[in-house]
Amino acid sequence: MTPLLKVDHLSKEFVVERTVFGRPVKTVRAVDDVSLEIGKGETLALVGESGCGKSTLGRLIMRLVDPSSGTITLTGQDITSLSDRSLKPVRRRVQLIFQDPFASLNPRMTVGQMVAEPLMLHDIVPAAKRTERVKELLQAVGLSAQHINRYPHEFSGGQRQRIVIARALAAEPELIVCDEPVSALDVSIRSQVLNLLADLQKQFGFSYLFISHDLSVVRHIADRVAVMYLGRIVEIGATEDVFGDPRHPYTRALIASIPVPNPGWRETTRPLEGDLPSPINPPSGCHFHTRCPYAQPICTTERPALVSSQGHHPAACHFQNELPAADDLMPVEAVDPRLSRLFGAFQALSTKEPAA
Amino acid sequence: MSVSAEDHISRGESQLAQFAKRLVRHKGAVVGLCFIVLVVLAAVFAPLITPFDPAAQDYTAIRQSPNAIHWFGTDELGRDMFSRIIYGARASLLVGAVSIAIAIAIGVPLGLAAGYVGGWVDMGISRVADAMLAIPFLILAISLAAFLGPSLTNSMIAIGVTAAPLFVRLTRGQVINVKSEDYVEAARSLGNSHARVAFRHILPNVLPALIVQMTLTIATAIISEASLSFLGLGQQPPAASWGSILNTAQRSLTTAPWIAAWPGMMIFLTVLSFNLLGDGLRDAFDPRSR
Amino acid sequence: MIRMIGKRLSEVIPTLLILSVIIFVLQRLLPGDPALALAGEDADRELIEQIRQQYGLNQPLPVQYFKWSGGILYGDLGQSMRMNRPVLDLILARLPVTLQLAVFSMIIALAVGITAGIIAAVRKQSAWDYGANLVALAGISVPNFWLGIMMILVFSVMLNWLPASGYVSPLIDPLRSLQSLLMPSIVLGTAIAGVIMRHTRSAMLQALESDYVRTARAKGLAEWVVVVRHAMRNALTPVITLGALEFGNLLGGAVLTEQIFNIPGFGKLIVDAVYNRDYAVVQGVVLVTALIYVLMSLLADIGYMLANPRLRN
Repeated sequence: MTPLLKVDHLSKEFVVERTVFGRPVKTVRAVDDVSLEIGKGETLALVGESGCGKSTLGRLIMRLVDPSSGTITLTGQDITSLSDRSLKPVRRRVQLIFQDPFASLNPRMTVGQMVAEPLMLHDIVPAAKRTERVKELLQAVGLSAQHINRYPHEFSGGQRQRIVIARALAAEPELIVCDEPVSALDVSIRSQVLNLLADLQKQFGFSYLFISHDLSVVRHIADRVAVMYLGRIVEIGATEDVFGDPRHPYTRALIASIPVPNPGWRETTRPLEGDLPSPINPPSGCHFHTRCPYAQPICTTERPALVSSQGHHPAACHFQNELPAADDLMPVEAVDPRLSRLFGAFQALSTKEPAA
Repeated sequence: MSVSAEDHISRGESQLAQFAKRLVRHKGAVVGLCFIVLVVLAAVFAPLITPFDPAAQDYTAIRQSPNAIHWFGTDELGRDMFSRIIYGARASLLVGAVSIAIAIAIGVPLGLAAGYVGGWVDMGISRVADAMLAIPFLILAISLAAFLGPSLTNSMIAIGVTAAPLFVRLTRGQVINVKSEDYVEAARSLGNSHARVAFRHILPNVLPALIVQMTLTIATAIISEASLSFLGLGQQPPAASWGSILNTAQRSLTTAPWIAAWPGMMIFLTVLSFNLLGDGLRDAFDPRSR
Repeated sequence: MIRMIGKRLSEVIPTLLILSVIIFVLQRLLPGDPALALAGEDADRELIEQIRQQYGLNQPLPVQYFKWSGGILYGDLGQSMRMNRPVLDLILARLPVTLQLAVFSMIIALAVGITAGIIAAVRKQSAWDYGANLVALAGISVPNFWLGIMMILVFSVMLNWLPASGYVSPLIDPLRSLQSLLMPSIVLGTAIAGVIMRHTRSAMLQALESDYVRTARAKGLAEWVVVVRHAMRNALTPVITLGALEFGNLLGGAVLTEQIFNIPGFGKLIVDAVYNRDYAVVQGVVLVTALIYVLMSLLADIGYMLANPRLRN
């Protein structure tokens, strides 16, 4: 079976500085030889520190940024170099949810106009029935049909993100790229929106590429996880495998830095030391060797391939089989019973957020 | 349906009402707007208001100071100054409106293209605009008007072309600001064409700044028209414009100073009104600016 | 720092090139035959043809352009057809007069504008503030040639305090030179003073609301020390930059001011050239004013960089 989305050896270089005559002087490899797949109805999370290239990867997949090399395939169709015109039907199938719901809504358009736009652009619903459809969509994301003629500035952050989701839903997409969809929201609103996203996936069966730096959120929502560091994927696998048996020291460090409200939890791995190196001048060999507690001479010279070893999920570490056991890294099941109850309560509420 | 329609109206009004409220709080802007409306009405209904034919000469009433018959006095040919001032308003306002229309028709699309497309298109358009802006406004307008030939129409073209780069630069800057907003990327990702993104999503967000600039540039255009006509490059006699009246008035400054006083006063008050209105609009569009 | 100046300079060159093309093309493509204008309306064909030959007007436009722009590089702005003298000579003879007028006007504008702007900002929303704002806006709105006429009417005709027109070189009689330029400088400086006042006010308001001024106040410094030493120092840099940029506008305004007061600067030169269809002179004046503007904005940018430590690297 062909996957919904297939990304092969995708790279993107940005020019940081040019000479007076326009010749590039410095470039940044924001995305460096990335390959991955997303199946139908699946949620793949892309995690990493800010600046690791995960948002750029999202924009490459959206074809908002043109890749330097590599291919992007959507259900077998190569969309890497489609023209603007032939890209239009693809745009309908892939939608984007942004981090900042205050910036991603046009302040001079009403909610109705914005949600109706994909319906009009892709001729999904005839003009006469569009208002009806927009109202259905607003209700589907937990807003009131009466909000249709309001402007974005009249809404709270959580409500705005629901508008963004409704707009994405209107296109009836197969894949939704969520770029940090909850990190700009109040903590109290986050799980409502996350649960809404999960419910909608159950209902409509689309896939998510879920970009986030927040591992506790990822753990909650993803089927599979890909970990990025300075433009490269360093580990990829099923969520329970990556969290339960992390094979890359970077993944371990990330997991260790998740704040967990469990006093019984023991700290076995030290959190990350040092700053993220400059992507303009990344370290040689394995990009992570400057911060890796297990680094050996080979790590400074040779780039490790992303391979599975001994039947485990793929990781890009020369010593993935020699790392100390990670059983104690994190408790396998969540966490605090009170928190689970809270999530449950939000889940029940999530399709109905009270109107402002 | 009915609920949302009513909701829409009340909400839509409240946004407009908020804007109007902020504008009204700006007393200068209100005064300016009232004066502009007054002058526009006078210019439109000039034949109904004016007691005399503005070109009719009366050798029995030369250089009369303001009196009951000739409210603003008469000029060196015995023409009624009040009538000439009202008809002069037509020329001045017409030049203001038409030259701004020309400037916007040239400047806004080019600025939009430069800001939205970027790269070489931007380089080309911006360099030309920069080069034109390096020439002092009046000097460029004078040379253009001179080489097109002296007439009111040509002075409109000259002023319009001279003002166009102002709109290129403003539109370009605003578009570059707006372009980096997420909602523009969102519009692209939804499948909007570039043209639709530029006109439907970006332009409306640039509009407030354009309206303010337009109001202020009308003021510049009216002064420029008066300057050109004063130099004999605009309105040609016997037709009146405020600038051309000033031109002839200079000769009888010592004997009949009122001939020079009225048109200058009218230019001053009209330009002041547009500037006041422009200031008020800027504050009303952006409440944080003050 | 030096690289930034270099970069800025490299931006100036294409602007100047395009400027020269614009100036050339606009005036050659627009209607009006200079040869005809020079020879007179009813001159015979031979004379017109001869003039065309003499001034190279019969050559293709690109050739004319390269000859003209090539000449500029050697300081040759062409020949005035009417006055039979090199354009550069005419401009250089008039330039000092206009520059003197412009510098006087700028001094007046800066002095009045900055003072009024600071007072308005310090006494925010007082009668002083509103009054200064209104006067500034009036100054921007008043057509300067009319202001000139009215001032002549009051101070020369009615009060007989100052000469109505004319110009005396400071080398001949400094006092009379000053007298002859007083009214024109006020007239020309009025609008710029208004612009400068408004910018000073908003820059000062911003500075006075900033954290470093609040800190200075919290330290217990006297209010005038806060205003002068802390707020003004930061607020006035952009204002001085603005003054440099407005210098170009002064040259534009000088055209009418010189016309009213009958001052033999190059504003008068361009008006006379326009009447005579003396292309080369018009081109020359436009080019020189633009050059001055470009130069001033370059100086303004460099000055701004020097004054702003954050921009130095």
